[in-house]
Formats: sequence, structure tokens, C-alpha cells
Amino acid sequence: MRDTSLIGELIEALRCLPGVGPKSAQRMAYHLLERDRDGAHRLAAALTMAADKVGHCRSCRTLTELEECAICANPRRDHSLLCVVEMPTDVAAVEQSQVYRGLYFVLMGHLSPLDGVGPDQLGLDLLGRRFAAGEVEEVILATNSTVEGEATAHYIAELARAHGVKASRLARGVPMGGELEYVDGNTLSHALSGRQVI
Amino acid sequence: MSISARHTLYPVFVLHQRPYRDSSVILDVFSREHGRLGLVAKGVKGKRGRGGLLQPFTPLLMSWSGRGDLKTMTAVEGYGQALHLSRQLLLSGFYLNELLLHLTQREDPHPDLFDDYQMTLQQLACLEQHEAAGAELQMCLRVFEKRLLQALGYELILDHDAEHAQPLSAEAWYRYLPGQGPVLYSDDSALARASSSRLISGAALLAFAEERLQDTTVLKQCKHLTREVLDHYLGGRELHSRRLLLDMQRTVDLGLAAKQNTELS
Repeated sequence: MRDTSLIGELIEALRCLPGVGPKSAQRMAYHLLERDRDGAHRLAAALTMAADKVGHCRSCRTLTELEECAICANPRRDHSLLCVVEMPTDVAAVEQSQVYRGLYFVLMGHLSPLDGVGPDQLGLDLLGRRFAAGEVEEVILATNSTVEGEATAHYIAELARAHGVKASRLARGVPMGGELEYVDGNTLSHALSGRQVI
Repeated sequence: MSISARHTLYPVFVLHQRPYRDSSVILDVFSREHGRLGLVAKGVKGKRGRGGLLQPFTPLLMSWSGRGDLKTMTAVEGYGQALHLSRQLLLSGFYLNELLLHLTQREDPHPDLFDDYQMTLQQLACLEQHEAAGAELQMCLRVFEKRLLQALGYELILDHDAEHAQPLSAEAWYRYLPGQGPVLYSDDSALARASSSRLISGAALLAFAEERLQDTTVLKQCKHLTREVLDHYLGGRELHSRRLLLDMQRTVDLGLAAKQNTELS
């Protein structure tokens, strides 16, 4: 039976979060109401603000409340380099490496014919317009190393070629601190075929 | 089955995976002995996971437990050489998977079809080394489509006329009715033949029966044939991988045109 009280509704609402089942939702609701009312108000306000205001950056499609995100608007970044990633979390991951100074383009997914996700859903028309505008000289394809990620990278590489933009793909191989014994065969064969002269 | 499958490793291919919860995935696998299955693979994503292995087009050995529609994967190992598909061939691989997903029933074993699927993937992986193997790729796909239809019990009729039960004549033209078979096309005028792309020559049907598809006109006619028949059994469902291939081809052509333009100017 569904609980229609305010508490019940809160528990039900919390369950929309990934990995939160009925039990954890209940614990969260009671914690907020019993021990942390201020936190609850802050959470509610932040959620409302974010849900109302956050949209997509007009040039890279990442999530932002500004018309153009902070990275795209930063004049000190290299505007001729464009790194294509699948999700905003991938932007955060690449940013953390602190070696990349170019811009990003966030697809918000990957080509997945079996789920019916095609080029239109990934904003590839916008990407094509950015290639056509001529500012981008090299596109770095940093989609995931899955078959869908590969297909997406290949598609974008063709798009880049059509606009005369150089395309490169992230290298694949043995991770730092990785022991060969535990590296799977697929990765190892890529690492072997992509080996470098030292 | 559920008891033995827990301890025995069976050859499978992953057809499709989608994320489930934080670190798990739901897999659609095609197994040699048990047909297509839905499996949940728990805790395979992230640093310690084996997500790298659970990709389509990789021969795997897998065991699972459970009785319901969604079973639980209990073990997985790589099996033999991984098949590297890239570029256009990757999309063709998706196409094969989409056909299997939509046309086979769950837990309906097709060992022969599994072998054909594996062989087709191996052929695609070999094409990888040769550039511009368009016709060979088409041949692989047609043969797989033919054998898929055969395995599903919708075998193409390629030896006799469905209406009169007469042997096919190489010189005659036929209209292939999905679900029935080839029917002799009586209007002999070349104009009428040219205006209808849905006609297929007896020669092409006979060649397809023997899987001899080297001739480009035969190959083209067989492509129309299998597409029409598959569309019939797909019941109006659009194949996204097919559309993606067309989109991709358009982009490639655009690139070629752009290149020619710059060379001219």
C-alpha cells in the first residue's frame, strides 16, 4: 500500500536517485527530518534552482546554468583543440588530468543502434556546424572504449574528414600500475598493436 | 539446465549490454546451446570489473544461474581470439546483432545459426585487413541473412515457383512474395521489368541458392530480396543500424565531395 503522507511522499521522491531503494530512501528521509532540517531546506532550494536553471551549453552541450559554460567561455584555452566525450563526468575526468587545455564537446551518450540512439540525439549536427565554422583544427575522440564508443568515434572521424578537420583517438593500453597478468586480452592486443618506439 | 549451467561454461556472444544500477549491466547474449538469453552481470563495471570482456563481437565462455527471464551471470572467460571490428564493419556487426535480437526468441537454441554468426564475424574481421572490400562485405551479410531465415524456419524458396511448383528458369523473371516464394512474372517487356525494382531474375535466385554472389547484379538483386523478406518478418520495425549505415555513407560521400572540390580549386 502506498503511503500518502508527506513523509511517504518524500521517501517515494528520494527513490528516483540511482542506487536508492526503499530502505535507503527511508533512512535519508528520517535523517533529513529528524537531524538536519537546515540541510533539508538547502537541498530543496538547491534542487529547485538547479532543476529550473541548468541547461546545456550552446557550444559544447555540457550542463551549465550559463549560456556558454566556463570552459568554452575561457579565452585562455586553446580553441583549435576539441575533445569529444560522452558525458559531463568525462569532462571532469579529463580536466582532473590537468594536461588538456582545449575545449570539449559533450555528446550526452553514444551511438547505439540497438537502443535507437542515432546521430540526431547526440547533437552531431551542432558538432558539424562547429567543424564548418573553421575554428577547430584537431578533434580528439575520447569516447569510451566500448564498441558503441568506437562506432561513435568512427562516425565523428568521418564527419571531421568531411570538413577537413584532423581527427585523433585516445590511445589504449596497459593502465598505470597495471600488471600484465591481469590485463584482459582485448586491451593487451590493442596495447601491442599500438606499441611505441622508445 | 539451471543446475548444469551454473557449473558449465558455454560459448556465447554478447549481443547488447545496457547499464543497470551503479556497477552492473544487463546483457542480451546469444549462446550456442541455449539460444538468446537475458543475463544480469553484477559488479562488472569500474576498476575491478570485467567490463572490458563483456563487449559484443568477443567470443566468450559463460555460465549463469536462475530460472526466470533474467538470469545471473556466474562466470565469464575470454575464449579464443577477440574479433576486431572497426569502422563500417562495426556497424555491420551491429546490424547482425539487431537482426538476432529482433528475430530470435529467447531460449530457443540455434547451434547452427550460432556457428554461422561466429563465422560471419570472423569473415568481417578478415575484411578489416583489406581496404575497400565492399562487395565481399555485402556477400557475407547476404549469406548470413539467408541462413538466419533458414534457421528461423522462414527458409527462402530458391528452386521452384511458388505458384506452379515448376523449377526456376534462369532466363525468367520473378516477383518474390515474402512468406510464399517466387512467382513467375509474365509481362515480358523490358520496360516493365526495368520499372519494378522488386523483380528478381531466375539466375539470381538460383545463384543465391548456391551462395554464389560474385556477380554484382546478382548481389544487388539479392540485397533487395533479403531486405524485403526480413522487413516482412520484422513486422514494420525499423532497423536502426541500417539507417545509421546510410547516414554514415552520406557523411563519407560528403567528405569525398569536399576533397574533390578542394583538389579542383
